[in-house]
Amino acid sequence: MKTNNSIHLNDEEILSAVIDTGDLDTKKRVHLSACPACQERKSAVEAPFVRMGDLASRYTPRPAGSPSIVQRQPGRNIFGMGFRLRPMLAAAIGILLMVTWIGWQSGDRRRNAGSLDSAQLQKIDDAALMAEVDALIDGALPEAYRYIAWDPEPRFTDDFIQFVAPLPEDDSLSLDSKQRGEGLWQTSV
Amino acid sequence: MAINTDHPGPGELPFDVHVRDAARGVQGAFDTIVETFYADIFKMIYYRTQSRPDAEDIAQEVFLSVFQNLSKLKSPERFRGWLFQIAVNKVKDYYRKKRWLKIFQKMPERVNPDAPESEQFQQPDAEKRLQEADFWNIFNRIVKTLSTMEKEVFMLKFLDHLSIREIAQALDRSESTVKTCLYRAIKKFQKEPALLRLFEEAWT
Repeated sequence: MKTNNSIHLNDEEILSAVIDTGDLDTKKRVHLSACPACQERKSAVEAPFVRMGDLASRYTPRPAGSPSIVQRQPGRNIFGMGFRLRPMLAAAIGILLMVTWIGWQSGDRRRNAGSLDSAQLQKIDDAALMAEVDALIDGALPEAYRYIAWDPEPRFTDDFIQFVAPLPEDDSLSLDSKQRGEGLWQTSV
Repeated sequence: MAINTDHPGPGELPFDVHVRDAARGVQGAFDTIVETFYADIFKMIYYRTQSRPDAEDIAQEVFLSVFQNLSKLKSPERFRGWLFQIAVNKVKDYYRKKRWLKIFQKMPERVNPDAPESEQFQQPDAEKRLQEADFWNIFNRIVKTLSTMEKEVFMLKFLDHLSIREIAQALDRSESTVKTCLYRAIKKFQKEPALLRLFEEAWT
């Protein structure tokens, strides 16, 4: 067949032909099949890869034997590294049980906390608050000023205190009461 | 008896018939399939694992899977692509499991039969084995420059001799994606001629 040099395949078309000859249009395909120059260029691109494939095949050992589906050993794994399915499965089940137990326990605790009614909870809160208030009363002053606080001693009896600081006869006439005007109001009544 | 799957000779059945027969459970049909494709599948797996025992075991897994699922194959004429698809997936599983094992357990020290210091290199065919080891070292260095997809497409095309349609089926990608990957792979090699020269110098 007569070939036309003007329609020689360019580099991209040669590459296309290497990948898939079907990608070339009919005219180019016909040219390629007839043009030794283009065929040679295509072969030059392909050659190292084809050779690589041939060598890969040559340097692949032969398998020990053909497979036998029937005689396949159950449980045999493809790694031969001591990996066995059963111990892994047992470990997984163990972990699952432990996680379930921990979840159950925490759920139980939450359920117990929820079973106290609100009155009981209020009582607990009140008791805690009162304990806090008592602690504040007992130690109202900072440590440095505690010494000025009145310290009831058994020898300071009521009589002794009455003697040292007698209570006024009429409390309504005390300075505080006068300032508030309470004494005047009481007098008028 | 090996059968030419592309062009059956006189007296030979087209391969689809064997696939249909095997799917229907006809005695001997599955054996024919195994005999025809076992070597190709073993090689395909060996190219990716470079370990004979692993390749044998995975090939066995592939044919077991074929045996179990052959009845689900709708188009027997697409058997070859389907078979390689199973093989590709089994190899992926192998690497996935291997990664998990690395995380969860310390791998026992394994004697690598392909290592140059291995005992087999002291045997009479030691020279051949050394050549083998050299070849795979260089091969790995060359394909390392490709992305995973480019590498897979390149190997299926030039090492496993699959058509573009079969590669697309095996990788579950469109034909145009496969062609693009192959185009990129070849372009990379053309841009880095030193890589191929390394290979040529060693084996010419």
